[in-house]
Amino acid sequence: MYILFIAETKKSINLLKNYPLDIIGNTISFVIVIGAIIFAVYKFTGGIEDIKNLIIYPLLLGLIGTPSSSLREDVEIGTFEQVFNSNYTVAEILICRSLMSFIVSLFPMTIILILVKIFINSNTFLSPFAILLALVDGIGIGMILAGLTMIYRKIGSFLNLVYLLSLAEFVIPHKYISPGRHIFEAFVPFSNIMLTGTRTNMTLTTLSIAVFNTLFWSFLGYVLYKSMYNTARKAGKLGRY
Amino acid sequence: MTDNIVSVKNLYKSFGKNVIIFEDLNVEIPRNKIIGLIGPNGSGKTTFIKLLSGMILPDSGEILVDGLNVQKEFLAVKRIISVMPDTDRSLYWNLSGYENIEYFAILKGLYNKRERNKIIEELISELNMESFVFKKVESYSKGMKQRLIFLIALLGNPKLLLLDEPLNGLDFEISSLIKDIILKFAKKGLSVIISSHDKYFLEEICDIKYIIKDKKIVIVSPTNNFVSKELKVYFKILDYTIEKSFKKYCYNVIDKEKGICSMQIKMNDYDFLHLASEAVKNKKAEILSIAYP
Repeated sequence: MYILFIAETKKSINLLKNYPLDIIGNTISFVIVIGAIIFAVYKFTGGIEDIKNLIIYPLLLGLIGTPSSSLREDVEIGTFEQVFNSNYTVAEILICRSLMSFIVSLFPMTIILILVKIFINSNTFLSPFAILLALVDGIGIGMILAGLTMIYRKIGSFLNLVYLLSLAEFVIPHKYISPGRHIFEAFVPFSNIMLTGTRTNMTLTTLSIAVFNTLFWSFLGYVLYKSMYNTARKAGKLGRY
Repeated sequence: MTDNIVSVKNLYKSFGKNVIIFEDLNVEIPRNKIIGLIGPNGSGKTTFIKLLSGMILPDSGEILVDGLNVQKEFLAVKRIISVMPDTDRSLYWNLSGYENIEYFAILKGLYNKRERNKIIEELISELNMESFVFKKVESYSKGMKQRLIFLIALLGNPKLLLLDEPLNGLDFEISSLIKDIILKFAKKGLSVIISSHDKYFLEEICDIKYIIKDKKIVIVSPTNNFVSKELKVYFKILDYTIEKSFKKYCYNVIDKEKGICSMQIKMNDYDFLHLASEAVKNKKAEILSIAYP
């Protein structure tokens, strides 16, 4: 896996060298959009706690979207068959790409953190534990979307829907949900971040729910991806252009 | 170690209810041979290759590659198989040829940098790719792309090489180059399965040919060896500098004054076909007619 990660990193660096403007443009527009949302939420709620988790959001976008978008790209440009016939499983390659994207996303996240420090004058500290849970959750959901891409091919609009729903979840704090909040937190993706990222006094209950949520989505991601991958192989959908 | 590189038992494969590709397919393919796979469009050549590589799962039945079950020991099978897909698009066009090779070399298990570079350099030289391998793939011609895909297929020391239409759209020179390299690797013990519509190419290179017919794969009888049949080509010599090269073949002058001659050759005599096509292209000779003697 380590060597594969190096190969994916090298490929990303080569693409960065070949198309620097594209990647710089993406980063800038990303910082502008997420930055604007963060400042709007801050102005609306007035609390620094509410925007802390929102800063993790850029990391999730890459984690969720990269497996399906890179798979779709491989199918579209015709490289999927080459990737499939390698010594690695498709899942290993997609997870590596997802991690690569996670690391790349640290760059815009750092810029956003600096902007928060300058304009809001707050020392925002993000919990590494929350980031770890976000990573596991994000990979699980990313793999479900990759499985869907294998079967349905074009899931771009569905992916946008997932992005928007998760953004809504990050923007609207959980404290506004009254009945059945624990059930909501146990099963809704990324609520583990809300539970561990903002609360200063984390209880055993919230921690257990956060861990359960993470395990639930990573397990679901594994099971659904495997099932959809085998369905796609059976239906001959892999590598069809 | 089994004698067969591929062994297919009672295989059924269909897409949906109405499209049956293989029905109770049983086929054994011997190792260390170059195998040709022929059949009309839509007969299942590419599906068969995808079944062998595990990209498509059968409805029922068993596929063994080098004694390994493709369904159950999929990862082990992936390590001994290499596939050249039937498309010149299977490359990252926004990377250079070398960057593509390096990326896929790692994916195919060539982890040691020194060893990897040595293998890559050797293959680049064998396929005459030095002049363009560091350029971006988007600037490549079809022949360049095809050579690059072929090179990638050779990486990772596979036991079984699956080539899906490897000469699709290639000119004579590059086709010969690829043909020679296939033969060279086959001599080293590589088993090769080539799916192609080019019967002449298969006739020339393959040890055994299989045909997909009525949802089954059967060996083509040696009597179907039609491309080794002889034919007579009538030429008009326009430039007599070509005559010396023509005389290497069964050359017969019919009308010296008009420069008309005939030559008896075999249909799979690629050296002659190259010579003749070059002569016609350079207006040194004109083909008058072709006939079976």
